Formats: sequence, C-alpha cells, structure tokens
Amino acid sequence: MATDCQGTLDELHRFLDQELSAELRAEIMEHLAGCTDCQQTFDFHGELKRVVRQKAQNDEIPGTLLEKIAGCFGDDWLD
Amino acid sequence: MGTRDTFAEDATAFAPQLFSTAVRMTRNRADAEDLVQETYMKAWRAYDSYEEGTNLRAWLFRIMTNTYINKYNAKMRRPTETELDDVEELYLYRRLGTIDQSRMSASAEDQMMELFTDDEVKNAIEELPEAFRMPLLLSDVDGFSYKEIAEMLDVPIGTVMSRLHRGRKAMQKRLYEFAKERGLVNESLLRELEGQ
Repeated sequence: MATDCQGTLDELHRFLDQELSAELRAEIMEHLAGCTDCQQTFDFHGELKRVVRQKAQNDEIPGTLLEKIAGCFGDDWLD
Repeated sequence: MGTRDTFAEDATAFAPQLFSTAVRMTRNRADAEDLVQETYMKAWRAYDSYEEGTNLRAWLFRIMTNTYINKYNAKMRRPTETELDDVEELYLYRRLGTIDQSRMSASAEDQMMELFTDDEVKNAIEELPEAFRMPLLLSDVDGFSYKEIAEMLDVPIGTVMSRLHRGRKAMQKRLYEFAKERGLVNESLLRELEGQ
C-alpha cells in the first residue's frame, strides 16, 4: 500500500534518524521517488541535520585537557 | 594483560567528541573541561564494570550525561510547558525552502552549510532548555538512537521523540531569526508568505 504525503511527513524524523523498520522505510522511499514535494522536504531536513552535526561538533579540545585525561588513567589499579 | 592500556587508548579517542558535546551541555568551555575530565576519572574507576564488547562510545557518553545531570541538577523530567514555545511544523523549510527553491535544492548541499555560521548553530542549540537540548545533542550531534538516548536520560522513548521534535522546531526558529538578522531572508517575499 502506498503511503500518502501526510503519512510520509509524519515519519520524517524517524526516517532521518534511521529509526524506521526496513519495511516502513521502503514504503517511504517509494513515496519519495514519486513525490517531488516530499522529496524536497526530506532533502532539506536531511541537509539541515548534517549541517547541525558538522557545525556543532568542531570545538577544538584543549591540549591541557588531553593531558589531564591521560593523567586520569593512573596506575592506581595496580594495587 | 594490556587490556587496560587498550581501554585508555580507545576511550581517549572519543575525547574530542565528548568535549564538543560537553561545551554544548554546559555552555561554557571551563565547565566542559571539568565535565570531560570527571567523565574519564569515573570511566577509569568503573573499568571493572565495563564489559568487553559494550559500545565504549555510548558508555562514555552515558557517564558524561549522568555526571552532567547530577552535577548541574539538570531537570530531565517534566519540563514545564512554558519552557519552549510551540513552533509550527516544518518551520524553517516553509520559510527558507520555499523562498528560494534553487538555493535549497538537493543538489545545492553546500548552500545550507554556508547559510548558517558555526556560532549560530551552536547558539541555537545552547539556548534550548536542557530537557530539549540534551536529546537534540545526543541525537543530531552525536547520532545516538532513541533507545540509547532514553537510557542515558532515563526517560521513556516517547519522551525522547517528542522533546527531540519540539527541540528541533525551536532550534529551527532560532536559526531562521539569525538568517533574518543577517539579511538573508527576502522580506517582501516573506510578507507575502506570512500573509497567506
């Protein structure tokens, strides 16, 4: 059974988050292949997700913190 | 044995990711450094309870999330409804996606990358109340599954999904404001759209 636009949009987040069953995912893909509007909506949000991930995860870790982390792995476990 | 050495090395490889997320959680670099250091101290102490084959990355993020929640008394349960405005569905897409279709087409991937600065994206996330910020960070930035996030935050999966959804809409609204402030939005077209 083909999924309609609303049914497809309802699954937008779960689709992008890879949380759908293979079966439901295939249904969505099938709808997207024949629906430019939904395809554009999904592309936009998929791209937004990539942009957010890339831009929010680039803080440079301070060298002093790396030293402190190395210090956490002490040899106290020997005794 | 050497297993502990391997563990230390493997765990340290995740430090940059943990640090970035810690900055978004605490919204402060100094606090983030403390949080990450505390996470590694706890991880090392809990090494005996770490089972080989467990997802080390998820394990470390779980320790850090718990540490943050306890340390800052973060309220993960029942955020008040007024904490976040309700934003309409597809907020950003309805404004930016339709204003200039060519700019947002699937082939123009770099365009959105250029549309927002790193700081704008970071601020849009950091301004979210923590009950919404945490699921969004763990999902959109760190890529954990709903189930993993539910376990980390100790809330039901349905709660993770609804907060993620609301958090994303609020973030989009903020991103749109940034785009507007920088004059990236065509105001006359916008009035037309809003007057629909």
